Amino acid sequence: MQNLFNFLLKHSSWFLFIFYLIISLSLLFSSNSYQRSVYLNSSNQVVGNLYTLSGEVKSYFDLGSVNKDLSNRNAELEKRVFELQEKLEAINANGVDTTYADSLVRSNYHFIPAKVVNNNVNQLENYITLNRGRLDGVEKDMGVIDHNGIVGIVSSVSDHFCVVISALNTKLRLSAKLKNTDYFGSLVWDGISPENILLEELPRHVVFNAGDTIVTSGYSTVFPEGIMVGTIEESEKQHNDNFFRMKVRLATNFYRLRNVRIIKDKYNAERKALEDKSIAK
Amino acid sequence: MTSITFKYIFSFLFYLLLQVLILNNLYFLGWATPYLYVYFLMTLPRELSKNMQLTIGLLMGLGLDIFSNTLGMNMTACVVIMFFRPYLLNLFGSREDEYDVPSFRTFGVGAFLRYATLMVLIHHITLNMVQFFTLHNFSHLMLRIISGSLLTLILIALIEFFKMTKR
Repeated sequence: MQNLFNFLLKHSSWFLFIFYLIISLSLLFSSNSYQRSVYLNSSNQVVGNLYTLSGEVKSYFDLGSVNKDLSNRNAELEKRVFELQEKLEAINANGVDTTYADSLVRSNYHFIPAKVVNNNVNQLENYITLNRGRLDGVEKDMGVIDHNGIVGIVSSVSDHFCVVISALNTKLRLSAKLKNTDYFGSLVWDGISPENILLEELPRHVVFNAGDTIVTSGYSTVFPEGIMVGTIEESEKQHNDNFFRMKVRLATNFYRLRNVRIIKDKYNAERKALEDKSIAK
Repeated sequence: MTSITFKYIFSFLFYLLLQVLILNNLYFLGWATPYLYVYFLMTLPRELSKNMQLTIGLLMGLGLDIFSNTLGMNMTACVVIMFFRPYLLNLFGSREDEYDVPSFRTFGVGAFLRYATLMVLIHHITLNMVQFFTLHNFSHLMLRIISGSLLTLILIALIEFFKMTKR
């Protein structure tokens, strides 16, 4: 007994090593440890606040380019307002009752503006921390976009912060399609360049050219249809089947992500409840 | 003794925050990121018990993982290098020498660089293997390991060089 005890004590570092390794690896490979451990990720209060602080400092470094982006966007919107106004006036002049038209096109979506407090692009599984949380109306599985295109999907929420699975995450798959067609495929990141993403499983008979636009398909409730993803850079056949795989240049610049919007589908809960009810019957 | 303990607690926090707030945002050539916290783990006092070293490694890894949302990833890499550390120390620092912490001065430049290279390589290989567990893009994996290790080693050598000339 004494010998056994001595043996264990002498080699305690081996046992401790194996014990620690098991802890680490089980945390790593337990399927959804990420969602379960609300406190062990950057949406927790301490880490969130620290990232907010450093995000504020960092945001001063690219004020110039952010400013340029915003003023470009502003100009675009002004132009659009002008165009719409002209159209509206034309319709009014034709004597069509616009109040009826308005009530048909109701806007299902509303946007929660948020600031990026932390963002990574150099891992294989990248996550983004935003400064909006449950108290601001953010919920799990909401889509996130910036003024250029898609950013990611909310994966966990605390009171004041939320963590977003970046589109640059090898575990995320999003549905997307060629603009102005109904051919859709699945977007996935290959972990290599933060500027490109792959569109897979696109049928081989689809005709397209480099430079064509890829947008979200709208088949899930996460993103509305037609949100910009990027443009086709090049394509290759997948070795074994009838699908295309193409390299898409992302419209979003993940290196400088600052101001984003979280998409809230106003009728999501209602729609889900209705669907559940019909399935139950 | 307590003042030294405080010093190490402070530098633990310093390297942790340096890594998550600044270094994790560097992508040299698009992907190479230096992992300087390995330097903190490398230069812990030799007298620390092996169990203590493993525990410090585990805590450092946990801290990094909480910040970068990669639970278990850095933990594995840190625990693995802290396990190998005592053996590497015996390999490169001659036993007769009286020394407390490994450095250019106590080990000599060549031996310290060899020790640092091995530590950094073991760390990067473990970390990247764990990250790439499901991917088979071998050349990209090697590229990440080599570029990241080189960048980390250059930083470590620079810090050691300044520490040596200061005295």
